[in-house]
Amino acid sequence: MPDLVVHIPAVTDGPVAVNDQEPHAWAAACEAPMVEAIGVARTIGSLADPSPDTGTRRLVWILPTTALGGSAGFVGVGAAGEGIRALAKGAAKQWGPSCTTTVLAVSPALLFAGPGPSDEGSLSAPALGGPGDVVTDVASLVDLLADPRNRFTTGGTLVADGGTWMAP
Amino acid sequence: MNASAGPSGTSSDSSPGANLLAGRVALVTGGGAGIGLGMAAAMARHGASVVLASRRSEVGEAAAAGLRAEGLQASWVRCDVTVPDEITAAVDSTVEEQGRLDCLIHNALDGSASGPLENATDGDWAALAATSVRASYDCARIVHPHLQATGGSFVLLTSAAGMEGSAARPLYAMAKAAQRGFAKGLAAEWGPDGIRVNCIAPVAMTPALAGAIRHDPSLGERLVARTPLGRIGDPADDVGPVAVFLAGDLSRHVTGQTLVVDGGGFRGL
Repeated sequence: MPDLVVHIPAVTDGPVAVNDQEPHAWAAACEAPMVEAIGVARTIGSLADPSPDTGTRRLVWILPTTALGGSAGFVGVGAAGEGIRALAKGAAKQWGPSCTTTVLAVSPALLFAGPGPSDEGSLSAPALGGPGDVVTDVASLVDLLADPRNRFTTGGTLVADGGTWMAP
Repeated sequence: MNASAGPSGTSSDSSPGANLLAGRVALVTGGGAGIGLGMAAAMARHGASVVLASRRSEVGEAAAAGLRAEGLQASWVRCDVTVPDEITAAVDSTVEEQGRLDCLIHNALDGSASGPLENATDGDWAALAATSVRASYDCARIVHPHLQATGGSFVLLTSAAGMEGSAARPLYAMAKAAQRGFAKGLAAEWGPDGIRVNCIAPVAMTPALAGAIRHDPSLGERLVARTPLGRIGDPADDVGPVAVFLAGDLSRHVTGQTLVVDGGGFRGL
């Protein structure tokens, strides 16, 4: 039985304007990732409570920061991301200490293979100089979240984009 | 409990004098009752011609007739928002009959999945997603040229549950959050076209909420207790003015935002 599940919903490359986006492409960009996320949550929720020996189970979703601010050309990705963030909050409230949830919001550059959303909402470059590295900057945070000492965070969004998105 | 009550859209005692929406045309999905009707009534009292779009003629026709009896401009059109052809027909008939369309408010929602996530069925989510997220996408694509022509406003109804999550209704919260995410992205996309996209997150005494409170009286007490303004809002008199604001020129530089209209219950933004 897993102690840690990390789910990275698929993101569709773009950009494509909603006006030009066919329904099947919309479904792939927006609806499929949410259905996937519900499936993951449903599966985790159906697992037996972790034993006292293993402690709290953890579910981490990794999303682009597009979910937070929205981005032209990636409307479906942003909508799905906001939906999954709310799912993480609702699941956290339902599950309590038996399974915590966290959303890691990372630079779109780490998740999109092709041209991804720009940081159009930011007037400045990332404070830490770039989008970061999957292994040294993101995986290390997952390690941190999985640490047994991390017992009191759940339902939140942790932004790990090098200091581009600083709100709130 | 000091909850505002009364049938939505029938009060006119709080209508400000200014005709902020004179000459404007607004289409409201789910406009036959509840918050949809309340918003439509408020816009009509500010001079707009409102089109109530809903599935059931017996409800929608009667609601439009009620507004006309006040001397307001209102009509009803059949529209199931899960059928794109019906959205197209509703929008096209509005533009044909009224000559323009300045504001579309997508308020309709079906589906009430609740309870543990592990018990949620695919059908639970499908019903919610069809009327919320997919219908937002369909409404947007269909209405875009008309709103571009008028420099109009596209408004989605979301919920504080979408921002704070819900243990009781996690899928509802997810759908409402997705609509909010949709609005943020679309605002960025449609800004250059002169179209504003915003959300309203209300709590108001709708027939559905009144029914839920009759079923569980403590629900009303809990809602009021978490509300600094000490009462549950009225669809027309409390939510309606925000719809008027977002539909009109006073909000001409506001886009991509969520206005929470719940008496201060949610303050997390």
